[in-house]
Amino acid sequence: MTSPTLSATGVATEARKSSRDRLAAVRWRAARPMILAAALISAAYLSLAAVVISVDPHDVYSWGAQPRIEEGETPRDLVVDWIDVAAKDRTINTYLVGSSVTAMYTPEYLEGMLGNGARVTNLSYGGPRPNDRDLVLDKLGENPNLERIILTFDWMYMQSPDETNNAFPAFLYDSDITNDLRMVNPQTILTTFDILRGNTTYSNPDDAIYARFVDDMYDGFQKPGEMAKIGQAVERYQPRIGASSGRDCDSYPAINDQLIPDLKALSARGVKIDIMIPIWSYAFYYVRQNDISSTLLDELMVARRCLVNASSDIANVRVFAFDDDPAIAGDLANFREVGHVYDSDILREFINVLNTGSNRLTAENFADHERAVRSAVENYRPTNSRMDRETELTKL
Amino acid sequence: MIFTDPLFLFVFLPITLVTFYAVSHFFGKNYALAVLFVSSIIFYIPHSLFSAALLIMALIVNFIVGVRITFLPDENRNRRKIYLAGQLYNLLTLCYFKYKIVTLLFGPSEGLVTDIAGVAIPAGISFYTFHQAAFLADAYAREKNVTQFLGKLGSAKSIFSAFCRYGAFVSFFPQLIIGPITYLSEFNPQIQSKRFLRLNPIDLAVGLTFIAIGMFKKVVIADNLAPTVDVIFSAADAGAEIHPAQAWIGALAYMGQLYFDFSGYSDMALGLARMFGLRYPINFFSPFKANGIIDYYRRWHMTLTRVIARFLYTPLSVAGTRYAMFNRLAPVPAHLLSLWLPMLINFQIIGLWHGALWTFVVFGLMHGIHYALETEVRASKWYKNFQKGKSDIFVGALERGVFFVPLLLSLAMFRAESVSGGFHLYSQMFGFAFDARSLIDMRFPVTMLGIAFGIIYLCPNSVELMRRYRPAIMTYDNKRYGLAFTIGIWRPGWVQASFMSVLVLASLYYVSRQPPFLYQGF
Repeated sequence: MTSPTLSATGVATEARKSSRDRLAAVRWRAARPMILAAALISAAYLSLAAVVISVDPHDVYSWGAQPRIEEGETPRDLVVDWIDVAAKDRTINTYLVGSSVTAMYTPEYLEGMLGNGARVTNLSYGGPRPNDRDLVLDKLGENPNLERIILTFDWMYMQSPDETNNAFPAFLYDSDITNDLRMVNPQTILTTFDILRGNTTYSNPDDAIYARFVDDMYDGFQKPGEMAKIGQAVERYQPRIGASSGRDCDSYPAINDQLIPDLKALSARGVKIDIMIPIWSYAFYYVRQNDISSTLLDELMVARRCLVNASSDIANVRVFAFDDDPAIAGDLANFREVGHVYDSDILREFINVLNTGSNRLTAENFADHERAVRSAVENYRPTNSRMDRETELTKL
Repeated sequence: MIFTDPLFLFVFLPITLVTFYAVSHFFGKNYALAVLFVSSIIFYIPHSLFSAALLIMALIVNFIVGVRITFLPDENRNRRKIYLAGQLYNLLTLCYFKYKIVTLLFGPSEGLVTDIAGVAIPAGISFYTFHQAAFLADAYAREKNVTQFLGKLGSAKSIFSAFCRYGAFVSFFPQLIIGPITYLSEFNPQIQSKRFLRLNPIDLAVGLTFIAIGMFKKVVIADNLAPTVDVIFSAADAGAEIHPAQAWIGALAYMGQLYFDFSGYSDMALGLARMFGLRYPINFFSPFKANGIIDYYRRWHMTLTRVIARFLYTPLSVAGTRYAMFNRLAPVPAHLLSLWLPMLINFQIIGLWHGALWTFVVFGLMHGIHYALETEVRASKWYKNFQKGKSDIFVGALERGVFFVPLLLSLAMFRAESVSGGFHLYSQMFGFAFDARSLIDMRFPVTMLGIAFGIIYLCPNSVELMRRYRPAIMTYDNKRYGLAFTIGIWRPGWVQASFMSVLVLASLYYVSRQPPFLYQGF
């Protein structure tokens, strides 16, 4: 009686097993495309990552491809990937660490202006923030042949020290190696294969595109409509443009805890540091208070004062500013946007002062500078010599 | 680590998956769960070592309390005390590390106590604390799964195994940082099932699809809306004049960003868990298709809603009703006590759960009032009469129209950097600053918004899409508003694999940009 039952159970178990196997086979067949696609993508990504990291197009590791920045190259969009390349190039002794207001200077232009064997790289990128600026300065400080750094100092230092430009690849320059896989993006992959093809220099000759962009911007800005909008902003905000922000030097940790220690470290190595305060039009304080701060003028003046006072006893550090001259900062004809100079003579003079030493801010003359800027901004009447001329011509 | 990080996707996940199934094959369930626990701690460590230590400490404390109250008899007076002590520990760590209560009370420079509190908010603390608080409540209520889950604890090895099981339940990496907040009754039956640990290729296919969809939502949609949101909200905080169109675009962009960020995370969490053979409760079910705020809260962050409703709203409402009955209060005060007050407190807690900011207080107040008002309107005779004889489509469209703007405004307050910034944005949205300086180039944000809201309102959600494969535990029985033919349309195949590949490759295009998920900040 027992045997047949056992046998029946065995058959049932066998049948269940076979049905389970069949089901498993169907499932594997159904899921195969998805699993295969995922495996292919993973394998492709990891293979590309292995190639990119082995070639190291940004020269972030010790085995990097050591690409070179060639004469005439000012690749503005890619400069954020270049920091290590520039820092490890021992032939370079001068860096311009700026923002969009200094992106137009080519290395040759700067070398011609600075003379004295300067070998320059322009590491200017749009919208720098305290954290990425700090990372850049740390990296550049590793170049043993470094002689000079030209820095721009603008409203970014009003921000928190942790603030980072969204487009800045901080993962390339921090000490965390677990985030390095993020560098495997389309641009880096293309650069890697360029290098594998034997092109060990970056090539992004975007000077012509950039020049067109700047010219278009200028033409777009020099319009009666734009001037009218600026006039309205000035009229609206003038009564409170100079209002106190209640800030003091303690309000700027990005200056006190990041910039000043960097300056001290570089200065101790004998590196010359020239800090350039960009030339903004007086309209800038009216127009940008809308999105930066309602007490922008006061905050920027306090920040400048703190920088000048804190850096006054650091050797090799100079601070320059031009915007106490109404002929420069008051005339909108000089600008392609309220915060960006267009006039080539002014741009040349901006660099030339590094040789002449004029327009230098010191603890002694800062009060006069501040008073002049405040007064000029508070009493500003929008002026545009170009459009005034055009209006007169039209009347004729 | 975050889910969209290539290190997680291409290194951590495959290694953990292979180890899990290999260990489960050779050593069995307890070891497999230990793999999940250890890998979850490894996953969490990059957030900070201190946070990881705090998590382990919380696990140990709650495990000990859970074990004690499970095995003590009801009549033992200490049982209640131990339970309350456990919940107090959870509450205090939350207040100390998340709300920085010590710093608020004593200022930032009061020595070691405030120094420790001054560390960054540990990632996921609100989620794993609520998770464990719910576990303790289940243990105290003698929920049947708790005893089965803990098993017999006769030896050191069995205690260690039980702890690893508990560790896996609380800290399993797909849900550790942003939920869903899971009950043991949802987790335990699955790990007790014979199917658990059997490598099912369909689980992998469903999981991979969820991951691809979630990643696309986060990296391609939410993160591309983020720059617009940042510009408009920081301008609003600075008191800037903003063109009304741009103010609306900013508020809508945040609505889209928050939706796709949280929805993307939720999809990825479901997909990751499913690859390990586990189904998690659904946390997100087309909330913007809701026909009102009551419906909305059955679709948005559903697992938080149910925890708050269970532990806060229901007890408060019952207490209020009892008080009103025993004291024979008039209908209006009785109604206030049993509905309005619990509702307002409930939403204040939901608001403050996100952080100790005034914007969250205002957000909670807005939603509390809105919820209570909607409850009143829906219960009124007027509304019932109004609905009669009208088509469902008409009523649905009207309800959504009425609901949309208040929701948009409340989410704008939720994102605002300050209450004044939030109100300033409102003033610009409804203002006349048509001559204000343009803050953004409108083409890209408008295109992104078109895509985002097109997906929100016209496409099925991922759970509906893969309904055939029971992708998640339904937290609430929600009505489906999508097009009927799209429900359960997904089956694994070459077309779907190609679709998934396109989504992943589009996301990998942005691989260098890895902003954290918005809810990581809560």
